[in-house]
Amino acid sequence: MLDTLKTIETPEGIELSLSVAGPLPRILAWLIDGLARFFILYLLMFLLSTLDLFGFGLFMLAAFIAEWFYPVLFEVCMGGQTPGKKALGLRVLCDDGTPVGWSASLLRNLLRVVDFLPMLYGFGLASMVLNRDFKRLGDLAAGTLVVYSGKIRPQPRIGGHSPIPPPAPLTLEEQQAIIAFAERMPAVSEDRARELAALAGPLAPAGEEISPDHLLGIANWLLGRR
Amino acid sequence: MELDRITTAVRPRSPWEAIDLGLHLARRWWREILIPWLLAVPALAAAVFYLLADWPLAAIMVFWLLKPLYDRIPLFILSRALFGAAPGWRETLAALPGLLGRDLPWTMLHRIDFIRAFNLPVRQLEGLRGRACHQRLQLLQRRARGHATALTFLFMGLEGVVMLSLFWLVPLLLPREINEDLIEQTFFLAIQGDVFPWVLGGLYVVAVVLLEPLYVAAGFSLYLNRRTLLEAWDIELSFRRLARRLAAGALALAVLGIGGAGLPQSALADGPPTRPEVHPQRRPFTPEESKAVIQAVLGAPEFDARREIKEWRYTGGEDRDDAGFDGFDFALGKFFARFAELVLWIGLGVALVLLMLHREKWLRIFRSQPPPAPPAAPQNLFGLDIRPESLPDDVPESARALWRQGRQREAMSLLYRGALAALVHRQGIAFSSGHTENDCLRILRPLVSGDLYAHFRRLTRAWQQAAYAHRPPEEAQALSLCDSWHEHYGGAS
Repeated sequence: MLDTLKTIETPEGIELSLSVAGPLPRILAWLIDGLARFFILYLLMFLLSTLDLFGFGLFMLAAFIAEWFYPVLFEVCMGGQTPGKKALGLRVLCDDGTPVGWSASLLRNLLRVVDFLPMLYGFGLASMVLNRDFKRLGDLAAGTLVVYSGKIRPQPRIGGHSPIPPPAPLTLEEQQAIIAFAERMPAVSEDRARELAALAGPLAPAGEEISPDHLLGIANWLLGRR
Repeated sequence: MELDRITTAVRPRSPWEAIDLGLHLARRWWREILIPWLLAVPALAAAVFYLLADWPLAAIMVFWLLKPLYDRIPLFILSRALFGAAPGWRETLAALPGLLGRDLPWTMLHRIDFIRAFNLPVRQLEGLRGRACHQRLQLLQRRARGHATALTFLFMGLEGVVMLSLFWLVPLLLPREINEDLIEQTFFLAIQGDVFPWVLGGLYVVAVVLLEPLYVAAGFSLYLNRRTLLEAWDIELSFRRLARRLAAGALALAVLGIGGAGLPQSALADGPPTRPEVHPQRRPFTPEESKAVIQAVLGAPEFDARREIKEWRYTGGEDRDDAGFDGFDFALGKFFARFAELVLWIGLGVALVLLMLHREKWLRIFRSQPPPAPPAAPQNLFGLDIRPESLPDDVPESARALWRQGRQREAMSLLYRGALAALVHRQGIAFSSGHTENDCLRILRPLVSGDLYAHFRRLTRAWQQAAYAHRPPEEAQALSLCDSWHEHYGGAS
């Protein structure tokens, strides 16, 4: 099965799946960070120009720091997210799912020079498209991943159909499917909902046709609203 | 469309994840795409540039305008490959004339379209036209328009990046030994008026050849994600599996002649479905056997917890002479040492002053404080109600009666509850509701006599065995616990 998930196993034998982020949202995040840096430096230049040559020296230092350490500082101190990555819901992690530290973050950001070659991240783009986990060269060297940080959705409300126990024990996957059906009913057309419910025919009450409402009842029962 | 044969994991994704999956699609079937793509697109480009040889910029424009035409090739391959029927290159080439020739004017009418890759599947795969197509697009685009537009603009930018990169790659890879003038001259020539449109055109064709399949695949995946959401494909797949499983199960039951009627419905539905069933022939382990099994498992190499610890030990050292310093470094070192010493002294002074200034704060630590009020006696411990009102007047007598009725667990429970209540309310032991049985034992130990502790310990163990292992104590032991209850936990109450 083709998927964008990367599964890692912790030493405790727990499988975690990370959704690895591809080049396009990362390019957007980079653009946002670039703009932010540009405006900060522009403002600084404006302020420091009052200090003549000394101000120019300070500005050069600030530009150096902003160019090389802006991503590192944010990635290490803000949980793997620069402002641009935060805006796109991205996060940098180590390959094993742990947070990035100073060395990994420094390495992946210093190697932007290589990714930038020959022009505007040409090599980085090629590497990201060819690599299974969308890694650019800096990521490969530092052993880091960029993943979607994932939001916790509030649980959608399910209509107040009285709970109905399912007629047979259900596996975890089947229970999840019934609950997902109930949660996503509003987005699905009525005809399609009936068609889907018909597929779950064996869950029908004895001697009756199955209806979407009956599945909602089962979902409520599975969710513990008894 | 046979959803069962789909080759990607089906679930609703965020739009960006859907786009990423599109890149995976293109990567997975690049071999199938490569040959027809490399045969068709460069040939088309060559034809266009040959026909418009006098106006190379116009040729670039025409090649760009024809994009929706050759975009159909990767979409044709991917849409079949998605359902496990990836066409070979011969098959694709055979389908090519029909694919490219179909309603050309209509396609060109929709050339200026910022979400082309997203709309393409509706036009090509669903084959909709006119009003129906418009309505369908409206519905599908509702939550995807922003990302589909971003996709198009990002790929425009990426075409620029690829062109620039390819252009710059050439001088980057030339060794320094080659005459630099020569490089400069070639370079200068390349961006000069006459040659430049041709260089640009060549670079553009290469960029399109490299990027367009990715763009089409990403748009296709975005479209698939939208349909997965609207038509709940993942739920359809799960429900089909469920129906198959239940049908197979019913069949098996019917063959065995048991039928569903004999089994109580609620019991079936209540049990956690994934619990492995105990094989009927195998009796459960006795505690001793399970202990032996547990020991055997713990003895396995996976549980062999060995650690390597590194630490510094003083092994007796030889004195190093500092003769290695030359005069200047040494003087500098001395200067820094002096400086550091001065800083340390100043630091000490500042610390003393700060201590003086803040003496109110830290002196308070040494003053005696009123002892904290004892917490209120808990109402229940680990689910046992230990309010005195809830207990019968004569605890051991009631427990004995329960024992005789065969309700041994309740008897032990009552004895234990009575003991806890007596300890909390009569002796003022401060158990809190978060404590466990063993916490209670541990707390009690330093506070009461050894006799009482020993009795309470026996009682606790008997209760735990009865409550959690369902193994009530021997009758003699239970009765002796009843008999000695009063003597330890105080008079009749």
